[in-house]
Amino acid sequence: MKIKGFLKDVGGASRVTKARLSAFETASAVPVKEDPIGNVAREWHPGALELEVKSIRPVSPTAKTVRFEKVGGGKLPPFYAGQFISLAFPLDGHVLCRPYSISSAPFEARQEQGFVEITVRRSKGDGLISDYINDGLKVGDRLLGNMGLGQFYYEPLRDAKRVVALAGGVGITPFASMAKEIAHGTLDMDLTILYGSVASNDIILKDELAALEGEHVHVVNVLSGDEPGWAGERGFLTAELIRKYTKGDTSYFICGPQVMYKFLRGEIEKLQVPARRVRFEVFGQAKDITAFPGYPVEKKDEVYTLTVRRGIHEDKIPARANESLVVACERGGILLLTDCRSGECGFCRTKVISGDYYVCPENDGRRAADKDFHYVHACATYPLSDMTIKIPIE
Amino acid sequence: MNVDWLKVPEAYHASLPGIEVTLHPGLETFAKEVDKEVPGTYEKVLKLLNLCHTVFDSVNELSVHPMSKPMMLLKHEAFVKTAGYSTKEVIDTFGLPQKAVDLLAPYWIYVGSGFKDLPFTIFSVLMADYIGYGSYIPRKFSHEMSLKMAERAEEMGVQIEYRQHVEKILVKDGKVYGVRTARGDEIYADYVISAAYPNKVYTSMIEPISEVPEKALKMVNGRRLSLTAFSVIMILDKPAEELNIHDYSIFRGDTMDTDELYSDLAGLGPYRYLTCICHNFGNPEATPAGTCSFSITTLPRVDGWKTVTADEYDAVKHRVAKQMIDDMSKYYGVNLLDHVLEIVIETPMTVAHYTGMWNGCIYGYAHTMEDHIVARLQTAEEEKFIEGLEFAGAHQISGDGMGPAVTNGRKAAKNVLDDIKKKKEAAKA
Repeated sequence: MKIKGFLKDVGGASRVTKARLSAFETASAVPVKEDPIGNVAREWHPGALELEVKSIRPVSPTAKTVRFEKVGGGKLPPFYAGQFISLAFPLDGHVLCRPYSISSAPFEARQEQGFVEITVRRSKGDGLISDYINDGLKVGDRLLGNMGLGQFYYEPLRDAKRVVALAGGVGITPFASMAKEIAHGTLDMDLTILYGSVASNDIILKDELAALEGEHVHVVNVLSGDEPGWAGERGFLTAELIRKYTKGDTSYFICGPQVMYKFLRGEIEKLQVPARRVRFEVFGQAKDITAFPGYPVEKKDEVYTLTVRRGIHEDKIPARANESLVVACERGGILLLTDCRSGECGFCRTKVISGDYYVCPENDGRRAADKDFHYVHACATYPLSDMTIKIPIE
Repeated sequence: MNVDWLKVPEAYHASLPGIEVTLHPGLETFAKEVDKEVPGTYEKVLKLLNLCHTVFDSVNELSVHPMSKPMMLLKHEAFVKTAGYSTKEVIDTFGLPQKAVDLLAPYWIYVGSGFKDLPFTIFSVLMADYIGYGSYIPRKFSHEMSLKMAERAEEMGVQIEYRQHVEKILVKDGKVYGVRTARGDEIYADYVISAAYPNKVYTSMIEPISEVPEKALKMVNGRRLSLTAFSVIMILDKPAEELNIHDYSIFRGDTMDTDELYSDLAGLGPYRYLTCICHNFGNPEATPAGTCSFSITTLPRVDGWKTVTADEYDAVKHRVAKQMIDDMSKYYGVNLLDHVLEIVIETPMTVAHYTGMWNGCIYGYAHTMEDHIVARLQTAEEEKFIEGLEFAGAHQISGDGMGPAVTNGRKAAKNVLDDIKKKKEAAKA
């Protein structure tokens, strides 16, 4: 065969080798360390940031807003209004991670002295960290936070420009962030918040939200309690009420307590809107795992032995059948970092070496191939026998 | 390792100026289909594809069994004689009409260089592999393949520790002795195989940095980074056919001049050459019934994206994504934006975030006539600047792609094993 002539053809390999070596010879020897694309990635997602509590203020009789700034000051990472931050609380020598929707706006994080706020309600006795934030956390305290997480935000290429938010209790926080960003002129959408509370004095961020009311932001408080003199909407967030505040093509964003999700699924169904117009924020750790289909209720009070491998190190800790593997590790003093705690993000992906387990169907975010090889998301997985798992070394 | 492979029905659908055709794998089938579009080209196209196949076989053999130059000329004539030429130079000798050349070109983006730059050797491997054998996908997505590889490795005694960030590669007297992770662990080893780019390793990972010879810096500075990725991945709320989508893989361009398109990739869009995949044609169960998955990808050069700041990032990302969706919507006559159930936009920054790859680059160094795979093979030994340090990834000899990734990894492993063997034998003697 012939391309250009025998000698030229057979000399090809030597020719290209010479070309390559001469390119190297003439190249600079000055190290080029710049990785600008990586730098942008790290600016958005720097990993664990050291944060300091700057202020704590009550925003209802039962809820407080905590403001954090970066230790040493400066801008915080960009994020989308509606996303959450995962905070690591050092408590009794253990580290407990919890996700909180950011209630401040993205533009506030990007100021020269940026800040983020979370708004947390005191629990009815079952929220260890919520109560700690309300009663124990002090200005000047420091903790680690990982932010810009989650999928619960307005995506202009997917969602209708008009969004009706259905919020209950502390589920108002992602919408507070969106409303602030809209009012600031940096988020192009229309937001109507239907906010369900029991009583008017229990409305979280009431004044702050009222101040944001404008052309693109509307807040409608809906009270379920029997409160005399209340002139606004009453009852629950029913299909009828939702329809009243819907104009044209609308996306519905839902965030609130787990009982509200169940109710609203039914109401949303009555609206007969396309699936792509409905978005629920993640569920959170199941309040009562025994209520889910397929959970072996007879095992709920069992306590098993959980063997946890980290590298070549092994620990044995007790694990209750009605608590997730993550909670078992937290109780046992084993550091297993989490982000969403709803089985969605995969940050606590864990390999099950042996043992039986149950995965909360509401929070089953496992990938198809992971199921085959017993990789689970520890926050959504419950032991049903003694187990051995392998987790990352932190 | 047993991956559940599914065969992709076609090679690709080409949507180019004056061309709207679906072509299928198999060298003869492909040549026949091209002939239907451009009558009278069958013999020449088949001859070209067969040449590709011969070169491909030689590359495979020679990467395992090196041989002397005269021997090579004798046994691997086509490989030797085409090695010094670009894809354009070799294709030109076939005297094919431009339309036929255009039909052979769509896969160019999977090796990432225009035909004036692209070594014919690489074009051969690409065509023989994809057109000759067709494409397959794992039933449970790429995760099935990576997970099964990891599982198999563990079965054979490998210890894998995820989420450990290696910050430093420890070197003394020109020889590797371990690594240090972000949490401060030092792990000692006689060999380290780095997936991080040589650019990163030689500028900030070697400790002490004085152990990096000038030649290593000249090497990385003398090479051109190849492509990164920008993908819009959507789940749509209708079956594909109802949205006028009929193929697994669609290449759409407003020209098929690969050199012109390559220049275009240095910018920030609108990108003129798009690659679309509808997974459901390879695997009907890829998404729930009544829905389909559709992705639109462009593979830009890192140049444009290097200029984007953190504050501009979201606006640029959405602008580019919308241009790509609008372009494909126009093509299908269906506004895809009316059907988005889920959408994820993956950018060069996303690649950098999840993989840590240098500047989000996924293709390693550009395949060019100045950085030719044949030259890379010839000088590989001289480019081992630190004893015990090997590299695996797209930045190695075979470059980007699933097959080359495996070849690159194997090569690194073989180098380590050969060295261990050599040292054992030396100790015995």
